[in-house]
Amino acid sequence: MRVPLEWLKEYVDVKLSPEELAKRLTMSGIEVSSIEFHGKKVEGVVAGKIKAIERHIRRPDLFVCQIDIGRKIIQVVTDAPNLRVGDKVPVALHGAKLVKDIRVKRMELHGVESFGMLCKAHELGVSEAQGILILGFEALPGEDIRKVLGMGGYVFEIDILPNRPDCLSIIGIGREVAALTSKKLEHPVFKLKEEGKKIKKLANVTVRENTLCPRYMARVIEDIEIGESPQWLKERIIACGLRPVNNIVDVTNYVLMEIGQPLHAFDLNLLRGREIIVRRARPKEKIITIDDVERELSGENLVIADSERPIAIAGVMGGKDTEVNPGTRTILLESAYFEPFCVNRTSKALKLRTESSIRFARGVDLEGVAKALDRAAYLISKTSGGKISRGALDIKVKERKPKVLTLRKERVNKILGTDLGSQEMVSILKKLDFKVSKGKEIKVEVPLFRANDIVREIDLIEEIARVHGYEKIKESMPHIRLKEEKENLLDLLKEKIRKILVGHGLSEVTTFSMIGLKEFDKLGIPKNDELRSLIPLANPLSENEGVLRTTLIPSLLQVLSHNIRRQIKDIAVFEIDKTFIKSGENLPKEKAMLACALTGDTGFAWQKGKEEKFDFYYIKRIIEDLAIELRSPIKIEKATHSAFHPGKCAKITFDNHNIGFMGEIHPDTQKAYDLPQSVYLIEMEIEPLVKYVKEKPLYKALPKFPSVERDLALIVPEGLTHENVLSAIKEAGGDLIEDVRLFDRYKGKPIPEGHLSLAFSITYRDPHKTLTDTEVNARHNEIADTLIKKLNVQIRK
Amino acid sequence: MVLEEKIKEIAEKSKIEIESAKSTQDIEQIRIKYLGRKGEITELVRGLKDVSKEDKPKVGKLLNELKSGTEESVKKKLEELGTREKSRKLESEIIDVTLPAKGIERGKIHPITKTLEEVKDVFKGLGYYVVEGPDVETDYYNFEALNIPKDHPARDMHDTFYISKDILLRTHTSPVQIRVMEKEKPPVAVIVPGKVYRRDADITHSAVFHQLEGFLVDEGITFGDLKGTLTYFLHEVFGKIHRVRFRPSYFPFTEPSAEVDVECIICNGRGCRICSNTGWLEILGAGMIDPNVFKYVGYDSEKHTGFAFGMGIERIAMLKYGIDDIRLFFENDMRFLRQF
Repeated sequence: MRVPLEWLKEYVDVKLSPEELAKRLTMSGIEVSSIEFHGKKVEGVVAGKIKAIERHIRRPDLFVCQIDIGRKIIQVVTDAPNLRVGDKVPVALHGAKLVKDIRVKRMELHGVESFGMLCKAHELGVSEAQGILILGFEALPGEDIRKVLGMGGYVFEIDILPNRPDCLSIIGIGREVAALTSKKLEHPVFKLKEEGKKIKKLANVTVRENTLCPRYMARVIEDIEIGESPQWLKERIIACGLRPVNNIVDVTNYVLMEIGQPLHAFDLNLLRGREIIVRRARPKEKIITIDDVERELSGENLVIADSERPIAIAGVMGGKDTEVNPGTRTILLESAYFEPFCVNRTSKALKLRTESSIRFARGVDLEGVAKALDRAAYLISKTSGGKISRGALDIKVKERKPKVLTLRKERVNKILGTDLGSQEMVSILKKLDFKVSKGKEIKVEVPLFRANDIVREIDLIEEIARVHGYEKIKESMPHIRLKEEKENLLDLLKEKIRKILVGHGLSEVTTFSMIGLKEFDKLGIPKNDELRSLIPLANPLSENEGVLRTTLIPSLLQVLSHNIRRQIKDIAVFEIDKTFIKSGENLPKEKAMLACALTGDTGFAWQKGKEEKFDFYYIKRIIEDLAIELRSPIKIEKATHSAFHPGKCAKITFDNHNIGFMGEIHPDTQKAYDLPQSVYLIEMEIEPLVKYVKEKPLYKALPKFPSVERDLALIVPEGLTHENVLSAIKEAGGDLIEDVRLFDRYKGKPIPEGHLSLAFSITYRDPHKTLTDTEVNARHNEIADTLIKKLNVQIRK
Repeated sequence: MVLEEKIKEIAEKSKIEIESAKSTQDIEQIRIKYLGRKGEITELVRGLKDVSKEDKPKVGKLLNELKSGTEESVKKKLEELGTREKSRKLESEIIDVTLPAKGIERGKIHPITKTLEEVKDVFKGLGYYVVEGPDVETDYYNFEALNIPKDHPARDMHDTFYISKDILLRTHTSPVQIRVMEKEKPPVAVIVPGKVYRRDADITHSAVFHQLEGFLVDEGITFGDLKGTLTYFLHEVFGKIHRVRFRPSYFPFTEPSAEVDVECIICNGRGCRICSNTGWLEILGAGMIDPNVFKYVGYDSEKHTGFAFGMGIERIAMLKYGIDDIRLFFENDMRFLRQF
């Protein structure tokens, strides 16, 4: 909300500087987000007194003036013919800024220097009048024009918290200022003059929805003359950010800003049946609002209607048909209280937020209804010459009684950690217009304008803390005493996984949890796959973020393609986040997942070698290191998955459960994501691994006796896997085998077609004694014989 | 004295040869030629047995001198050449140490995770423990039990993604407060990191972002404790030189509520674009947990009091690293990620 300081000062005597006042307000919860000097656009213009005028020697249509601007006398050339010596005029000096960003410079006009420019009213944004503005005699030469014309002033931009609708007005802010500075709030004083007919003879009001509209008041003003509002009124509402319309609408806006009560003026002669009915809208009933938009209503919406049709959406916006127009002579002025939730719903449903709906939706002051009506009627009669008819129509359910709360001094100090005396508490509450009686207990009566906000003792405690000042509450450090040490194992696991992956060159990414439906087609996920059991958002921002993801892979592929489009080709990334598995109508099951995506070179390109590109065995290393570091028995077995290359895919199992997949991207998927090179992917659940995250290594004694190494080179049929051969060696070697390592794998001449050469290095060790050559040779030959028999392999000599 | 002359001749010859040897192989050849099994000196020594008794001591002495002298020269020359050859070999093995290193470069932790870890560590050190909650929540936990009933204006501040009428993407991490307190009796000291969702997006707002929530409930917890804890936290994260201020604010689930600002770390409070010329940066929302919230979870608000706080992790990361566009966190451009 915009609060002009000059206006505020009408109700409270402010002695503080704007900056200091802004700080005090901010520190009490009324956040001043900016201080603006209204009329800022005009700079460097001062009042000047014309000392002499001469015609320009070469151009008789120009005049050369000598002008006193206080400090000195300057020469200015002008084309204005109507000036006289002694006139006081606005002088824009060299470098001055006028409206529409016009800059004034010193210049030479046909051989005569001009050190500034005399200003017209419209150049200062004061009015549309042409011709040089002649200032009043009281203007002092050299004085800033903004001050002379009263066109300037500080305006606070204030962010009002949702629980403080009482502060959505100048008087509301004034009350806070008064409380903070220990001053008195002066309410506007005026005397209403009623004349002419009784209102009951002129109009009638019926309220059909008493709960949605507990109070409706109206006054009639006759014989008005529609016109422009006086300058002071226009300036104030402009300063508040509103646009002047005419002397009726401007007054309702003025009172809206002053008191915070929204008002509406109808042209009474346009009301059919000269009556007001407050009712629910009929289904599909239509109204054209004053912004020229036709709106369709529903039974949820409260409307103001005449005998035939809706003429306003209650608390939100008036109707076009009955709005005040240049021919209006008689108005009906409405001031009411509409239930906050009702206005809030309507405003949301119609997507229509107005100064009025904002205030009603948060709750206006029930007592302010009558006050605002009278205030507006008074101002309208002053500005439009209208006559206020006798009496007001007033439909109300029943008086709402102010709530009385009990405040315990000990409780205040217990919550705040302070040592305040009850006198201090009482004094703060009184300043905020609470009525306080101090007996054995402190009884606090809550004024109606705070009725929605202050309903409990704790709300009073907040008021005390706020006005006392948070900055005065002493800091302390609580002693945290928990029954047991608690550790989040999943969190710990994630941290460990991140460390391992970073060591393998993978960088962490963070992506959205929502993805598009089309990602599943790109991955080639079959129609009835579990991954397609999706949870759609009812109101997504876009189709691409329409469902909660059941897999992290699409997000990672998007990251790759984003980078590749920017000429970054070697990428290794991972993400740890949740996927969402549908679970009927309940909340979905959220699974903690890890996904990795790698493409391009490992970054070591100058020594050409095999390890240069990411490949299946690179990501296998990652999984195996996870298994080792997390002490988790993870297995990798051949498998298939629709998003993966059918020959280069494996499943990851843990405790006999399939927890994920790894492998090379399926060429179709690669194409679908427009990726120029192959990608290696891992996706696995991590929650099962939590089980081992706290497992500690147990030391085993180092071997006392030496080991013996022997090599074994085999020619094996291609169908045989490394794992087949390895386990056969281990089985045949028995307990003497400490380790078996593949050190060469070769295909091609002289190895026969359909075969491979595999060379293993076997480490033998007996934990209890030194092995002799004879023992080792015997066992080594045994292994060779078994392999020949069992696996149909040949020993390569 | 043929023998004596022969000795003299060999001594001179071998001396020249040894001196002119170019490599350790040359020396080895020379050694074999003179001192080997059939070497010239060995042959002479072998011939000593034919020398007359009276000449034997003299010739023997000469021969011994020749043998040990040659051996000595060979050894010396061998050492000399060995040293030279070794240094020549080492010289030839010089590498360009400026060539790129081998192996893959370490990856990077996402700046959001880094910031979260830093924040978590401060509170873990104070005795708080980490709890996570679901991203998909019910209306009850996200709003209702946090004292935000339907039609409450505070719901306007949360543009919510809905799945159904009662199921939504959490708009803050606060629902986890309710979930924890439903299960645990005081004292509780918990922090909750996690993703949250709001239906609005621009340069400073992302539809998905991260929050960290924290709360402490016990007997005798005061607003002063809240101030002490959060001041300590902000000093840990932003440095002690920056002032911290608490000003009244409004959250439906805390009362009294506070907005916690730290003196602008960019301009040190003088006022700049980042702090909108206020000199202060809003970092945390906090407050004493509202008695209504305690009612929902069955805590006795007369006996127990507590405070809660929440912060946007992206905001802290943006300030710490000088990042001006929140979308960068989710674009995952490697040129961005590599910087952290």
